[in-house]
Amino acid sequence: MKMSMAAKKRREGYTFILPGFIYMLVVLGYPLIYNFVLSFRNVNVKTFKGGTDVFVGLSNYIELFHNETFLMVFKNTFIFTIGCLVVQFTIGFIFALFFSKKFTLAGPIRGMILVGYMMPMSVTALLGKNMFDVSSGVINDLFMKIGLINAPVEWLLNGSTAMIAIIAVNCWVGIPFNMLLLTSGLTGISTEIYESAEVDGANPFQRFLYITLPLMKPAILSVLMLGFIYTFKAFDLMFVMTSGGPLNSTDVLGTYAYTLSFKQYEFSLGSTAAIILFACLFIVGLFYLRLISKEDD
Amino acid sequence: MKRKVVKTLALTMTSAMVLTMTAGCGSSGGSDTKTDSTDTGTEDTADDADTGSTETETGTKATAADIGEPNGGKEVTLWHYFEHEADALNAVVKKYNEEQSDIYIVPTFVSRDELMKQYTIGAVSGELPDIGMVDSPDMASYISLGVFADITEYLEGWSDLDQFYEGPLSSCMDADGKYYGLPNNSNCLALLCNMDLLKAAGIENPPTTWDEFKEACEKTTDEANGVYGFAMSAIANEEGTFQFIPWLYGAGADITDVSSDKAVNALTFLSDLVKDGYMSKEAVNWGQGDAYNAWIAGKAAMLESGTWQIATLDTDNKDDVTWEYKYTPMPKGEQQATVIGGENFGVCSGSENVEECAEFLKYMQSAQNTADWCEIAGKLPVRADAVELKDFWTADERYKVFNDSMEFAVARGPHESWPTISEALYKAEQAALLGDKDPAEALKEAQATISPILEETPIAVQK
Amino acid sequence: MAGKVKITSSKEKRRNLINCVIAVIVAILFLFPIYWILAMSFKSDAESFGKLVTYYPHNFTLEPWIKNFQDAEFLSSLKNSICIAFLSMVISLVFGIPAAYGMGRYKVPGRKVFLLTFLVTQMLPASLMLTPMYLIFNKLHLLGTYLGPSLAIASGSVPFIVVTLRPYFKSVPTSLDDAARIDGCGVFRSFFKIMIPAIKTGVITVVVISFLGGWNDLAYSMTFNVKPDMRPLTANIYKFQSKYGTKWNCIMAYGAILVLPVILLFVFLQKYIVGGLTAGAVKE
Repeated sequence: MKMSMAAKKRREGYTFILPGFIYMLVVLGYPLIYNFVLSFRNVNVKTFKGGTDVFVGLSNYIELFHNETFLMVFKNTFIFTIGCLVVQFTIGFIFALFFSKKFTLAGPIRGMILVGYMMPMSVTALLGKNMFDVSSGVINDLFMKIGLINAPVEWLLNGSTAMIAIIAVNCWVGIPFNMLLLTSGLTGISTEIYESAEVDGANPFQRFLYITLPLMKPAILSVLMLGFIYTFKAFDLMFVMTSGGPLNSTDVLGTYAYTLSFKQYEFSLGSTAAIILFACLFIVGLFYLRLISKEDD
Repeated sequence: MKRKVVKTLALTMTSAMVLTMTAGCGSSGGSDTKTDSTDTGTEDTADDADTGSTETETGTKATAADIGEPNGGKEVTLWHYFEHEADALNAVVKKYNEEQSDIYIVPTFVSRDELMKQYTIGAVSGELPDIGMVDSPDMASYISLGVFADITEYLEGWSDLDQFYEGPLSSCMDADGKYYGLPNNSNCLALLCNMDLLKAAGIENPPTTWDEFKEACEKTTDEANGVYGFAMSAIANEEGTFQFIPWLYGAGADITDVSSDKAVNALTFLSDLVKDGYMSKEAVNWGQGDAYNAWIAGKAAMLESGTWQIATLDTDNKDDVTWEYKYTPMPKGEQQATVIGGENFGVCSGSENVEECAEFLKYMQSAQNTADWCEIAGKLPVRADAVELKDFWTADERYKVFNDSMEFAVARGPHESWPTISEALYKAEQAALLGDKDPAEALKEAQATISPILEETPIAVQK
Repeated sequence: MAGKVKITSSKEKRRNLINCVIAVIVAILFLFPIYWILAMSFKSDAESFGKLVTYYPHNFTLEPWIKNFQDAEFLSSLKNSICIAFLSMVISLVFGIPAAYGMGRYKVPGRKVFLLTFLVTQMLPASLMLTPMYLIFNKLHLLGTYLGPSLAIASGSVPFIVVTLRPYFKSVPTSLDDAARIDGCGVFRSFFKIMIPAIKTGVITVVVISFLGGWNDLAYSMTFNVKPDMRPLTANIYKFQSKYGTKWNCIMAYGAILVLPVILLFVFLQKYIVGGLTAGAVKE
């Protein structure tokens, strides 16, 4: 029996893909279903033990979207994510381009700034808490010494400055991460293309716009996509650095869902918040897939 | 075709093999821990000799030297988050392990946050330790979630029960009066004064009323040197609520009506301290330990301080405190008040040795053992007859302040939804201290959260 | 790498110098927090939360470091961290790289569903996965093993690998593996012998990142392994954050201990990693 070339190829493809696919389904399928089911019931501290929870339809979702705190948390999550993405992608890209130039210290220093990315988030968050402290934090002290500010900024005591502080700390991690992935993308571009463009009289900006960007598109898309997912479901940073405070101003969906489930024992509401977080990312995922498939065909 | 199948199989096998390999590594790690705990014998003792006392200080795994050799009884696990007190706890466990052979108790340190998470997950999965420690206001929720087993039948007829103070004991009970554990120790809050700073400001004695207190705050605040009159914790967790309660009740208000004028007075008093610059706004990010550190660093003249901090003053910060200090009861507003804290131990659901574990709790909380352990660990006993056994709580002036304060100390809850009530309260406090809302408005919102909860299930009235 | 830079004219020399100065400034900005960790870790308790901000330890002390190293569980935690990081890395690579290859090189039906699944499965917040995963691992008797947390951690790294490596595999010219096939290489041999070396850059990146994923994990390892002798290094940091107050110097010393091995590993492997990153393996 002879298999057609296409069928043979397909079989090969599945052989490579399926083990990973099945593994993901096994490890993560159940948790997904678990949270999904919980979000349609009313499991909490009162109904849990007796098993008296019932199906409540969409009422958890409705309850959350009528809850002021949740709406604020929802908004915070987007502010945080977009703030981080803009900063870390832009600077990460600039760094990737800068360090791909050939100069003496390019290699070692590129390696060094990756250190921020290697720290456990819990340590980074504690460090951020210490450095942004109002009275004994080094950031205020330093800014005052160099005359940037006259009085200490109440970083973590004020909603908007607290958000700036956590974005800053997250970017300290995110910039190296973006740089790393974009650098690997950059190295994929053949230098010959640049050389021929240079011969054709293209200036550096044109070269960036017409050669680098289009060729980097797949890498850029995956960096942004991954960046979005990781930032959107952030947890450790706020949990340790601000506990979501002051007054929920740095509370995001990840931390809020945790608070509901593990601090208030509102298991169903916690799962609902998690599913809402999931749904937002799912939409972004579909969008990414569309972009990817355009490039595929 | 056949070859393809073989190849497909080969790849799946390879992945499977890697998995089993890794599983091997994993399970060997697992069995490691098992053998470890069953033959705690010689190896661990040697281990302990090497590291001396430092190990228990950072306190995690108790070794045979700490808790006694295995006595042939069934091994039961005990989870706790005692740090400095771990030695004293191990001493009680060791005594019990040597005195009987029904069970062999192995204490394990699990940090507080982690412990709470484990209970919550344990409620769902049924995987719990045999004996668990819990912060008293959280107990009601865990009882409600089924984390703790009903041990009423083993406590009935135990005459000692009458000796326990009402507040701590009630936190181990559900609404039907069933027992799920025993209180282990109590603490409360008092005012810790840096007398050098007070005297320098012309104040000879610690303040006793709100007016005197405010005056002392004003006089000791020294902005130029970064010294505040007062430091407390108003952090967004149970600690924040804990430290707010003495002010709330001191103003003559209570938890059932936090939007009353009296309650507003309490919060206004505190938010004015911040507004006037007598207290750092950073209190909203400070846990009790952070506020304590600010006091230790000389950044505050007075501190709302807990019983457990006496032990730290005597050990860790012995050299840092170069000034004279004094403890005094929380200043009196409309009435004298403070708050009860403390830990309970319960037997967890699903334990195969509920009765034996309950017996251990009774042993641990017997008058003599309670007194012994509280003296070593620097705690307040939860039963009246234990206090009488020693003069520790009356001879040491500092402990005396706390022991006397228990007279007017208020318990939190017990209520299965205490975490939600507590959150409403500390959020209101934070909003007022940060100047985000005025106290009346903030407390009104808190009351809107609290009312429906208490209407559904009121807090059991205590003596 | 640096040695290969050939500087000829004086104009290029100046440009090189300017670039180096900019790079150094960037480095100072990014490494200051690391310096701060080290500086804090040598301060005494009182200095670390004192009134004044000190830029170097005025009362230099090794006590925070000694306290950490004296911890009886330090060595076992170190072993646990290494085991978990290594195991989760292996699992991630075994499942992730072939999947990335399959999706990058084969137009199999349903590939969009696969890709979406890989993306979607990492979209739930880790904190909410804890309970359901605990239930599964309990059933599979994986609690208290290294495999439990490693499987959970790898579930975050596998999609990462798929998403980042897929474009790499796509960019490898088909002529390369066609040539290999003609030479009689089977699919799997060409995968290992031709494809993986061809995208060395990307592979090194995902190796590093999936190792770090395990090294830095806290939530999974703590939740699935309660026993003290199974906890990773990251868990111990909580000891210094308690109702007795945040011990900044001890925390920072621990942070340094956590970062140092990674930095050392990185410095040691820098030639390969940074070299790999810049070599441009995909170039023809």
